[in-house]
Amino acid sequence: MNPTTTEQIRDYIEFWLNGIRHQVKGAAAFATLSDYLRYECQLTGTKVVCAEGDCGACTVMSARWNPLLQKNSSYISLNSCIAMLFLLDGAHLVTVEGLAEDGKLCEVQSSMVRNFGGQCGFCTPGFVMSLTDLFENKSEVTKKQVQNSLTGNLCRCTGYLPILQAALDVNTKKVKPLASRYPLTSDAALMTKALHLRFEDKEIFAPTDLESACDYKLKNPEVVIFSGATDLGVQFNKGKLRPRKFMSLHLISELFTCAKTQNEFIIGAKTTLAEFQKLVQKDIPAVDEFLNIFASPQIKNAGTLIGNVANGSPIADTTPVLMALDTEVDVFGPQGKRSLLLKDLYLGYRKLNLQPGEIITHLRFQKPSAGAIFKNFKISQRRDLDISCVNASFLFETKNNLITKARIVYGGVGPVTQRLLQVEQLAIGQPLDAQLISRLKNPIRAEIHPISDARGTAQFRHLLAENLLTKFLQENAQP
Amino acid sequence: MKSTKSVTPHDSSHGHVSGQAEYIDDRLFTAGEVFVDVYYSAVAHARIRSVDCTEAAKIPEVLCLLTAKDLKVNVWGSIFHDQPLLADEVVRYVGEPLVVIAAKTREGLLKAKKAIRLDLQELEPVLSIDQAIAQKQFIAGTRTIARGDVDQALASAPHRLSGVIKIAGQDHFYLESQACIAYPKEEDQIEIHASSQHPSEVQHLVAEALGLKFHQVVCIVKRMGGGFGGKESQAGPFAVYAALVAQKLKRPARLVLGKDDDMQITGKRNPFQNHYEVGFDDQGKILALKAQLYSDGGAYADLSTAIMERAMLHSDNAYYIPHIEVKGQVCRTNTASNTAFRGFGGPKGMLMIENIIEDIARTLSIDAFDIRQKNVYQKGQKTHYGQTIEDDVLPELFKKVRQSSDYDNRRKEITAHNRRGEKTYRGLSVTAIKFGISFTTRFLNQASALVNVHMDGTAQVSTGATEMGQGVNTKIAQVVAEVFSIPASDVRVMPTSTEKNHNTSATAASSGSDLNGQAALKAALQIRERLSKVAKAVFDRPSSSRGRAVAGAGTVPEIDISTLPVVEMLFQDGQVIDGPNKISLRELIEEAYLNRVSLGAMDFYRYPGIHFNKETGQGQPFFYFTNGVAVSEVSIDRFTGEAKVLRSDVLMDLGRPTNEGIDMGQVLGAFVQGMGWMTTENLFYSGKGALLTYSPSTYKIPSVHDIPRDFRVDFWPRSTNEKNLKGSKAVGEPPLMLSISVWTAIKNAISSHPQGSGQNMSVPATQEKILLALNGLL
Repeated sequence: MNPTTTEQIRDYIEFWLNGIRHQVKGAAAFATLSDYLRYECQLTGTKVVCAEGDCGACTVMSARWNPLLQKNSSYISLNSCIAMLFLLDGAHLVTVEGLAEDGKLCEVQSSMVRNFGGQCGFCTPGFVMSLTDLFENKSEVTKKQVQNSLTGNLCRCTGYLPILQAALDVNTKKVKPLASRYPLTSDAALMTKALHLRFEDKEIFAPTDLESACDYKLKNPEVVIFSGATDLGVQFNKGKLRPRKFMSLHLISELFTCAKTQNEFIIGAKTTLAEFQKLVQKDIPAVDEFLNIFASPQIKNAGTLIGNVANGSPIADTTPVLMALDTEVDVFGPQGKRSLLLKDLYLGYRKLNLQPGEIITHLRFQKPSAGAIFKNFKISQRRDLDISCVNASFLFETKNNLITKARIVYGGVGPVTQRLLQVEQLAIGQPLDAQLISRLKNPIRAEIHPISDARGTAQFRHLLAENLLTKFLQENAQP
Repeated sequence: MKSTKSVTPHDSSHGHVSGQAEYIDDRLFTAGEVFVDVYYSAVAHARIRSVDCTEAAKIPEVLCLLTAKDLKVNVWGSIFHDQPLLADEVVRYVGEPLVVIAAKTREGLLKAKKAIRLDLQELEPVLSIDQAIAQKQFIAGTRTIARGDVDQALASAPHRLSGVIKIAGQDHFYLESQACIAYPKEEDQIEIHASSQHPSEVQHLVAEALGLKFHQVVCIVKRMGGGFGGKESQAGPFAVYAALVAQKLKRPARLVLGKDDDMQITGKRNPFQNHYEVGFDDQGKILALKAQLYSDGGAYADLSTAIMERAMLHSDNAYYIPHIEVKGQVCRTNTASNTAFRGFGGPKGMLMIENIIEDIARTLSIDAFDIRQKNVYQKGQKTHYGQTIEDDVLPELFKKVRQSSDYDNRRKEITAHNRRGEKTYRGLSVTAIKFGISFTTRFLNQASALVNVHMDGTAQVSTGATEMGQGVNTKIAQVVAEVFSIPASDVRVMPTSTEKNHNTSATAASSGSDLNGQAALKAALQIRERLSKVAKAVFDRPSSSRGRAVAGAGTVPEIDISTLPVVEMLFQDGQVIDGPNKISLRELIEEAYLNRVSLGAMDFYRYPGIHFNKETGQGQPFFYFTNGVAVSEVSIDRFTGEAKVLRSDVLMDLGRPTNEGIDMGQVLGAFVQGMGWMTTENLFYSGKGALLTYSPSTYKIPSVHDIPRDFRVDFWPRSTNEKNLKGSKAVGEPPLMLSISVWTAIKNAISSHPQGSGQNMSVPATQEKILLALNGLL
């Protein structure tokens, strides 16, 4: 059954760019946002350097449409080089060209000029946009906040300090929120219409209900579902992914769920990493802290939690965290709903335990108990915005100084993110202290099977796996 | 950091922050413009049996596929002509260009690349310096720079150490990848806009390869999105590819590399492997150094021999070594031809001696700071190549930074911290630089400038300097503005063009502002001299003889300045003053025009007094030295090997900076760029010579959190450099080498761990190497 009737279908996407409405169909709808800006609109202030979301030169501001809340999000930063244009259906966008008013620079731009924030200038528009994101709705910022807001922007000239100084020198009284200049006026009625856009042999399908999505996936098994496109956009740019059928779930309101009920958190497939971080910020500080060193603001504003999980990479950074929390995965398919434990989702390297037509819709997990000790690690060549060499999550509970529950999860030590079930068993009933590592060392070594690659040797990964647990036990040893 | 608010901002800063500053790929597409790309080898070493473009040529969007046979001249090289523009018989590295593709769409380029068929007979590649040495695969001969009797001095030295330091390469990671657009013009002329540090070389190379005369090719460089040496020689071949397409198709041709391709095709900083033996006394005074430097030149010579020479000239760094012998040999391997990178060979020589000093300190249990102060050059001492040190700046800098960084107290505190052996180990280290300013090849040290003054009192300046973010245009504008006492914003430095400034040198060797700034200053002074004479004549006549109407009527005799003596006038805030007499600059300029006095001037500058005999290794290669010191403190996590730079104190001797804000930016940026090389930037190759870390997802340059937590940069206030442009000193490269202090601090931290094995540390000190070293496994 397909509840989407023809009258409810449109064949174009719609968005606002620097206050002007754009309706796009044809080849351009399949392009990335940065290509659309640079080649269709001559808005060349947005630069493309890496085309993989690592350098931030392409940063623009975006307020995406949320069908559950029936309104746009606030303006947040986005990597336009890996954002597929069709994913921005319903969004309001502002580029660096949209900041100055009648040739008069905005306060962030002026401060960058005053403080020598640019040298060669190629990364500068991206920094200006990330700082614009930072100052939307903020009356005061700390150096740390500035740095956290700029982890997605690379500069090779300035050594960053002049940019930090520019940020701290911004007179926030002079900063005008973007929404005051570019009001968020998306057409709610249009967003209730499914999107089916065809060009030559390619098509984009964005249904408004789950049944249609599953039906389409079942009939077109080659379809690629794009969510935040923070990984697929990279593969697309590198010519590794050239799908003919694209699907987006951005019009299905139930997938925007991002809520806490009593002690359970429920996260829909369209929940971004940034929204997820905000949701758990107070209740699970260990996750909040971890998300500060994971990805960049631009990536977290676009990438979804479920996208990170469904990608199936053995070094996905949220998977160990969610596995330690005993997360359950809700799946919707031709046979209706089912649930499974996250640890059972991965069958092998990037191979998921999903049936034809099935779509992951939600993740659910409980808030850790009050006495739980929870810590997440990410080891990478560079601390920020780097793909992990090894990551790990440890969640322990104790009673009368003895371990009653142990979750020991590693990524980057084998083909899938791995809970070390045997090591966990050995830990149960033991005191939580630094000496425990001597009993667990060899079992860890036996249970993991790391390889050597550009991010590190197997020897390094073995050493890290052992040392991270050592560090955890030392830091959390109970007297 | 000093306040920079009162000084002139970068001349493109408005364009930078608003997105209006135009780079190559921002240029509007012209009618019929085509996209150009290169197809390159995926194999490191092979004989080419055939390159088959038949299928690729059938793709509708594809317009042409060009190979070696389409070039009139297929060899280039900045020093030796040894590199094919397009490989024809043998491919010598992964990434070596074979075919130039032109297509109507970018998608067409992708399709064509997939359809080209190569038939290769694979040959054994040489992939390391060790392999090259074993197989005697060398570029040019071994050079030697020596003084004294090093063998005897080593034999009699109370202590000796020997070792090898391995220094990896570094990718430039300029944000704007290689890019150019070639426009065909009438009578076979080509106008090429390139992201290049060396427009004259581009002009010459394009002309030669296409069989044109130099006067048929104009190269224009508006600005680069970063260069760092990576666009000194290596922008050239890409310009040829675009120009070749423009010539064949008679259509504008745009070549803009993606970052992945750029990193695979272009050369890097040369890796070095330096073998040394050093002799010293009980106090740590260095008596003798014998060193053999090997560099990895990659597949072709490029600039590697000059880079090696600079490494040899900086093997002493800031320290007097009485008996010294430095030999240098460039090796040939099957990797991309390595090339210039900020510092050139300098850091590779400096790293060796700074590393040696750390090891001497540990051997003698003396603080490495003391060892450095014992060995630092004093005024009047001579370098191993015979140049005299003319001042006492270096010892003064050491003294100042020891106190301003609170070195001794922090050392005590760190020693106590490390003894506790908790979660982190900390290290503290000072290093110095004495960086020679000049191209070591004398004839490159020349520059010309054209200054045109307009009737409204504004001026346009053209020089051979290229703007890559370093602010050379801003400095030149300031210098010219000061001559006429007008705001810097009334002076516009125009795009660099080979039709205005000919036979220019690359903007390199930190000398861009010195050479071109001096030339512009001289040109501007010529015009001021003429204007002063006109002013004198105007003041000497009744005011009724001024003005366009009078000149038009021809009723008053013309002022002939060729008959007038040189006079001094005061140029002040748009006025020209001589005692009680005063005229606005604008009116004076009009009077000069009306009296047929030229308001344009071209002038020329060369560093005086430099010479260097490459055969004897002796001379005065440098016009002067830029000096500096830095103290860095790091903390390493004993469980993960993660290193954090807690604090860096940088003290630079920059003379009287033309623009403090710009120089501060150069110091900060160079230091952080160097830190990346010292720590996280890891060029990782497959066993078959393919670079695997060819994008920022795997090649990690420093991010905003990686800079020193506490970053203090200061300029030496007592510095003077009267021989150079307005007392300034060159700043582009030198501060990069102060980042060596971060690396030596990491070594210092490792050495305080009971099992630490820092003596084998190489560059970069990655997290993995640090963790292995802490566990005695490196």
